[in-house]
Amino acid sequence: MAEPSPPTPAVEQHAEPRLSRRAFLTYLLGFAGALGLAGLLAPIVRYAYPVAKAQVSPKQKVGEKSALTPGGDALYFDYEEAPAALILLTDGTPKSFYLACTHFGCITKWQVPEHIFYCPCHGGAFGPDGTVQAGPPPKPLVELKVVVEGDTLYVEGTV
Amino acid sequence: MGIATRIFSYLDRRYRLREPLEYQLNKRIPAHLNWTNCFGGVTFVCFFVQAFTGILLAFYYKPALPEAYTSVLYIMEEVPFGTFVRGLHAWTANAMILMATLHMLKVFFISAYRPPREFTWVSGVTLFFVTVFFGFSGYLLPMNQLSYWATTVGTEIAGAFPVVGTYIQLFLLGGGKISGETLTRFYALHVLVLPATIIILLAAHFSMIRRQGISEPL
Repeated sequence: MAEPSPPTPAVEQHAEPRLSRRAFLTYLLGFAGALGLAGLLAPIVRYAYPVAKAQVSPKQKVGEKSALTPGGDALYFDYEEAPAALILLTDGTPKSFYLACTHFGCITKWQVPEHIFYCPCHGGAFGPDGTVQAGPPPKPLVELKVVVEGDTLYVEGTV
Repeated sequence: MGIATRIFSYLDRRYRLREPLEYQLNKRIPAHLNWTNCFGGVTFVCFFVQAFTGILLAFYYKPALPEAYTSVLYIMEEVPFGTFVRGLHAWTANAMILMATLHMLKVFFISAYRPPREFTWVSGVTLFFVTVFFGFSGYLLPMNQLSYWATTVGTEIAGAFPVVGTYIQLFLLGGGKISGETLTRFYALHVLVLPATIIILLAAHFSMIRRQGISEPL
């Protein structure tokens, strides 16, 4: 004779959880690992990502053309925190250069009688077009782009 | 069946990976080992870090005369995490030399170099020299005062070698004194010649250890 099975207590009848404890801990560990890896990779991705450099060269007012004499004195100013000068060639064309000598970076000065940018450190000389005329400099002076608007002279970036 | 297991069984059906992989991964380690046996492994980890950070530095470094110094400045000042990557490369270089030295001392004092492991020792000593040469060639690359004079001293030491010294110095410098020629030479050694050499030597070193097992204490 089959004995009737005792009724199972309701308390033990909870359903199998959808996520087992082991699986939950595995996911948790995986998540922590992924987080750690991301923390390591983020700086590297940031490092390799091209540096966004502002390539805009500001347009800076230098002076009036009528205030300068062709082949005469230069107008000295600072452009982008570096010393520069503007001269008028004998035909009246404006030319502008950074004054740092390309040899060792001393500041050159425009010499009116000789018509050169002269470097006092090692005797380097640059012509009115910036080319090396004498001395040790390996490269011509860095030229700035001159913009003429009416009588006003501006510089805007390097040539 | 998880995605990893499925990929593995796909490859295993074709290339029979399970057996060689299990052989490599389930290798028994002798009971007498302790943390001082880790120096070699740590040196290898250092090499891994160096290879990785070195590649990252090569993204921005320019091996030419005016640009070498300015590109390092650029890495240090403009590139995000540039100081971190270069710092890691420089410090790990020091750690690698230190760890290789400790590894060498350990092997020496437990006499692990004795037969049949002579060639593991020979390859290890060669690896040490390659590591030192890595450091020496890397030191010139920032092209600052420290680089210049360290390379001057180093190449003059090479130049003091009897008979062939002058030619070794000439070949290292690519001329009479440190110039752009020296820089490109050292760069080629640092990123092409030495990495290839170290990888071949490491493969030989590791396969000999795997084949013969770790040496038993005396």
